[in-house]
Amino acid sequence: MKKFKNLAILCAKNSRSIAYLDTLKKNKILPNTIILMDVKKNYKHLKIKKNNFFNSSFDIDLFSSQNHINLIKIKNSKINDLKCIHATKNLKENYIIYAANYGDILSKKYFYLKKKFIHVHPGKLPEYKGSTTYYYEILKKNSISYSVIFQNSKIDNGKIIYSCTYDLKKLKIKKSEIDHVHDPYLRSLILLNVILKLKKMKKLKSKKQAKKNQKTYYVIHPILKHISILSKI
Amino acid sequence: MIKKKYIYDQYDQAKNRSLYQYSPFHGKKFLNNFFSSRNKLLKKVSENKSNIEKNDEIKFSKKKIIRYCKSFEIKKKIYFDKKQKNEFNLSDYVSLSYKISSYLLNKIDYSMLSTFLKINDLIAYNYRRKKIYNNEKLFRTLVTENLIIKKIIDEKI
Repeated sequence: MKKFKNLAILCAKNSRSIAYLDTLKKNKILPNTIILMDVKKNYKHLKIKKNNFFNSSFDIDLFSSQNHINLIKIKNSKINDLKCIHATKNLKENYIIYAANYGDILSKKYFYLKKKFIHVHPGKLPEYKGSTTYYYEILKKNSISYSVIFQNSKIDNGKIIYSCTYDLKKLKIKKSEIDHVHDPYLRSLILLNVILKLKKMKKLKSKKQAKKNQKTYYVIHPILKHISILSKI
Repeated sequence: MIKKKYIYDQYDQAKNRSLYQYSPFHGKKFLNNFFSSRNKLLKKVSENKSNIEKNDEIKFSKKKIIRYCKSFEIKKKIYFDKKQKNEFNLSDYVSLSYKISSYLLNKIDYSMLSTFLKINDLIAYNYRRKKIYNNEKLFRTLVTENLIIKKIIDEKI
């Protein structure tokens, strides 16, 4: 398999990055470089659940060595540590898929590097900014949306590359497994779509978010989360 | 193992900032546990209802409610002033929650409802620990919360 020379991924080992890499691999797309933040602490959101959609035991080390991918491991680091910023600065690749840990927000320093950070946001933008937006969207519309954006210094405010909505009636998913299985998997499919476009066109078109109808959501309360999961489709 | 209790009113949110992140799914039983926990609080509040003292009435415009909700979600604290010197006390949280409850009764805003539930968890956590001056308001807030959640459950599940 040939590597995609202009593509890197900045990630931690979590269900999202694993789903991304596995889906890209299955579709014969290899990033040129992986920057891996090697976090020791076992956060509950780092739990990677066994499932039928992506390989939960995907081995980033093995994948990199087998495919001669440049793997830069940064131990015990957080996204805004200088080590991470320097490693990103030194990348030759212009397009960087972003899949760090929950709550990690890129500092402004990253946006002086003139790189394009591709982020898959769960929720239609600008209507659903923030966190756990899929649960809110299920409650309101019985659907799940995703938007792929070029990140900028403001949270969920970047230019939109692509967006799509899944009707839950058509999408057969176990809603209790959204967090650890379906969300990362659906994100990976949408990301794949965008990367295939990038590979073909060599660049990605994007448009500014509308200023109207912006709304920010915060981590959903467990009661509403339960109602969302248990809701009729 | 499935936890039998509703735990979100057992912790100080300011000290457990990731309390609500990736909250596990426990099935329908979890909803019953929530109601049971809130009903216990409601009982305590109703027992103290006679102990009402006058509280300074705070005016909350919709704009202010949104600003306070945002502040609570980000900082887990609310201040009256932008310089962050004058912090909300428990009675102020009750007043805010009461105001949100009347707003939600007219119009369901899920984002605000989520914050409302978290604020009520915080009130429940602190109820035994701190002095409160507006039991009557808290009683009405909890009754409204119960009504709103039951209505949504009836509609959605």
